Amino acid sequence: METYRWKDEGRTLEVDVREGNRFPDGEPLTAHSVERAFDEVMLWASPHPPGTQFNFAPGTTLEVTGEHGVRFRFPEPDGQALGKLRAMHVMSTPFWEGPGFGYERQGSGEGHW
Amino acid sequence: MAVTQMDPFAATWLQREDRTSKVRLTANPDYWDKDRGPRLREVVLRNDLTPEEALDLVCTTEGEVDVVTEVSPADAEKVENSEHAELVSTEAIFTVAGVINRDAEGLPLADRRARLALNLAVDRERLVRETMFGRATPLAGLTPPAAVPEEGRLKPHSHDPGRAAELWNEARSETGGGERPLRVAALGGLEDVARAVAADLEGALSVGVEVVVYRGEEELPVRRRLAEKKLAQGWDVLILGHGAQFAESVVAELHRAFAGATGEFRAGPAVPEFESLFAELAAKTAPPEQAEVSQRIDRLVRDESLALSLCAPRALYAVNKHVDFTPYRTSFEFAETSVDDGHWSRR
Repeated sequence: METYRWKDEGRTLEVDVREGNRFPDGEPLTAHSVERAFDEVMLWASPHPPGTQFNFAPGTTLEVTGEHGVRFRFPEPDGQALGKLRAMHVMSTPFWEGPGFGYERQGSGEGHW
Repeated sequence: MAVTQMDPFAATWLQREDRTSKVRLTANPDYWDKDRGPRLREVVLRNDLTPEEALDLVCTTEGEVDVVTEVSPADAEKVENSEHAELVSTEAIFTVAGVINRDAEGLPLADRRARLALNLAVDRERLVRETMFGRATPLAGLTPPAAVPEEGRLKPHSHDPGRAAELWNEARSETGGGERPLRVAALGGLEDVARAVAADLEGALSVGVEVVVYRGEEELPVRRRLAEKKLAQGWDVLILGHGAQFAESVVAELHRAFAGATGEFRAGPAVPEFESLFAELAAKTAPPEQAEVSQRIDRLVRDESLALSLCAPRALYAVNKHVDFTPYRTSFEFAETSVDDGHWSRR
């Protein structure tokens, strides 16, 4: 993350993704990497091993605003969102298509993020 | 295994450790922040050793183990006096506290005065000195000092056994109970803490105190029963350690766990004032405002004695003398870690 901006009294969070970065496998890090991670984490009811305190509320959405920009919208203000983002691991495409967080070994991402 | 509740939806994972014997981490040489690293080519995490074996290897050998995490305060001196390792420590966002069972039958723990009596009965300075060998800080509420600037820290409960006895007897005479012994239980290697707390409670409150220690495989069913909250607990105070993964979410992890409606350690009804403050915190996005509400939550926990506040232990590491290791307050990281020319891997 390069920078972030809160808007709409805590219901919107805009994040600028740092430019020029690559995953260890060479894939560039873009807003679409963050979008994929968000889509993956939202698949599960309780993906994080510590518990559901890191879940985004149901109804939270992510919109790609540019090659390096994303916008989160929360149904209610979520001042804990930056902490939750620390638990949302952003990975490259081969990771999601391969092992995932427990996908390959367990057949599920519940409790494995 | 996850324990879930539906309204509000929440889940707690209870996991057994099921690790491969070794995990090899390879550095990303393209990492953007060159100041932080990587300064190591690879790191091997060894899960094939007991904590005792690992500590022995780092202290007495080279080339086997370079860093051991979660060193017990009782072992710190051994590391300091060892041939090959040095002790590295930091204040940590980790709390040792007692869950107070506000639903306990036969004791007045639903009454704030009785819970306050428990807190006033404990001599935290002695607890830190004798069970943590001085490598901890007394707690006020549940927020470890490492998470708050010095000027914003709350004052811990004083040690006042006389006032503790008065409050205990007031609560007991008005609400009944208190004729049976108090059961203090401990998880995760905190037996010494439990015995010190039990001695303080026995001395101050003139009650019998039984100590129960849950070890190894016994811990999981105790944690499950507490997370489910359907069956009566087998203890009145359960002493455990709990940390926050991220400095931004201390209250969401610690205070919510002990006192929140979705708290896996809460033993007793949800507390409306706590929930109201927690909702207020969720609506704050500016760090100063978050810090202010977080402090009010910690003050509520302290003043209402929603937990038995004990201490915040320092995180202790045994580190090979040729490794420059930077500890973090939250998790175990290698970002700034490097080795010098005398390290076994470079000789």
